[in-house]
Amino acid sequence: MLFWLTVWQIGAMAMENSVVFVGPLDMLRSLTEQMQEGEFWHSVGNSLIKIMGGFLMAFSCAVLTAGIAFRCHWLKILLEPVIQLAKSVPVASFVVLLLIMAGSENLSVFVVFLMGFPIIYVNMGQGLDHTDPDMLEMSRVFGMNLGKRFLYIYRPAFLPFLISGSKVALGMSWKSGVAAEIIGVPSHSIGERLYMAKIYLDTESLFAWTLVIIVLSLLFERVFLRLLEKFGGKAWKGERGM
Amino acid sequence: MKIQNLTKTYEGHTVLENLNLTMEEGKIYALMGPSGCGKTTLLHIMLGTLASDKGTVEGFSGKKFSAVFQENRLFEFLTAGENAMVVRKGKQNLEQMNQILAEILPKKSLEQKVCEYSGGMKRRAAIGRAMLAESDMVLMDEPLTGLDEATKECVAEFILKYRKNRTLIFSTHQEKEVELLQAKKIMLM
Repeated sequence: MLFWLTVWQIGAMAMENSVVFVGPLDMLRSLTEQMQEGEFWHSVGNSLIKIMGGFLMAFSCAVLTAGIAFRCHWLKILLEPVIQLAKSVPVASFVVLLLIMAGSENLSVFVVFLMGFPIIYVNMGQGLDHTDPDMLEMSRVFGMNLGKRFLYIYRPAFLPFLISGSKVALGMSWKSGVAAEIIGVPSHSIGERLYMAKIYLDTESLFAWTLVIIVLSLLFERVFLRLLEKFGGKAWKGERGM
Repeated sequence: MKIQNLTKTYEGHTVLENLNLTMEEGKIYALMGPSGCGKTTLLHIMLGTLASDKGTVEGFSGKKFSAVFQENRLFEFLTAGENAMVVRKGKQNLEQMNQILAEILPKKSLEQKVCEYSGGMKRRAAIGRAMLAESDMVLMDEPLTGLDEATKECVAEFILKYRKNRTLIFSTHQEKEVELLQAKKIMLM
């Protein structure tokens, strides 16, 4: 890490052009300056709430829909073309369409939702399909109720898939959410600040905000996945191995 | 409990053909016969997890079952005591479960997850779970297979102790196991 930071700093010093490329020291100086402004935290808070709100909505809706589709085969078939479509439509098309339909203020919420939903839905569905039929048969013989079946049979089956789907969707959330904000330019958002950096050729700010996005993305991913693993309990820690 | 003209065919191969049986509730029965004669199939039909092609099975529906499957089917990420608790209803006491299971499993192993058990220990955990579950009938598919002679005796004693007048039906190849469990033989051909 230290090696690459040094290479980066030397590269920036060799170029001697802060419009094209800045080093880590300039980036950190810019970030420290901006952190002292109230507007910085306002933009961070707004974007965080919208992007994470969109992700959490996508997560809960996708988990619930996949659960229902697992029980109702007709719903699974009905949703298949919609999911395929949502998976293949480019983010930019969604952004422009939603910009026309819903305006710019909550654009990132909708975009993140539309990007995350199909990923989590597909993974959750695959996980449920991996439920061990022998264990389900055993649970019926012993008369285990649905709650216990969920905790001890379904949960260990879908959790590894749900975790890997969430990892992908979380990464996508920040990328697509910030991209939507740059196009929509809602007031007090990270996207707006990046847009301004582009207008004023403020590369130091661009790098500083990129670092903010990376840190926020990593932090949220860590917290969310830790909570998800905690929900998995012993079933997750001990692996499935039925 | 009556089984009449029971027939089951798998991909053109008849496993059970016009089987007729009468069993009394609260007794112990051993299903015997050569490999492939339909012992496991019959147990699954009794459990209601497999449908027959022809014939009737009376006296099994509406009953609460506990079972030992050929493949154990334990929750590998739980301990033996926790496995027993999961299939029981209402509030449970793990210590109490462990105390009973210690009669057939080494005390030290009761702290371990089932995935760390040997094959024989898994078998004993599956038997323990079946005996500790609240049920009217216990069905076991070759429960003592893979256990050494001394362990077989200990486990058979455990089964008899915790049967509590429930009907016990198990499959086996060995006369010795029939004796150990004081069962009535049913020969399948």
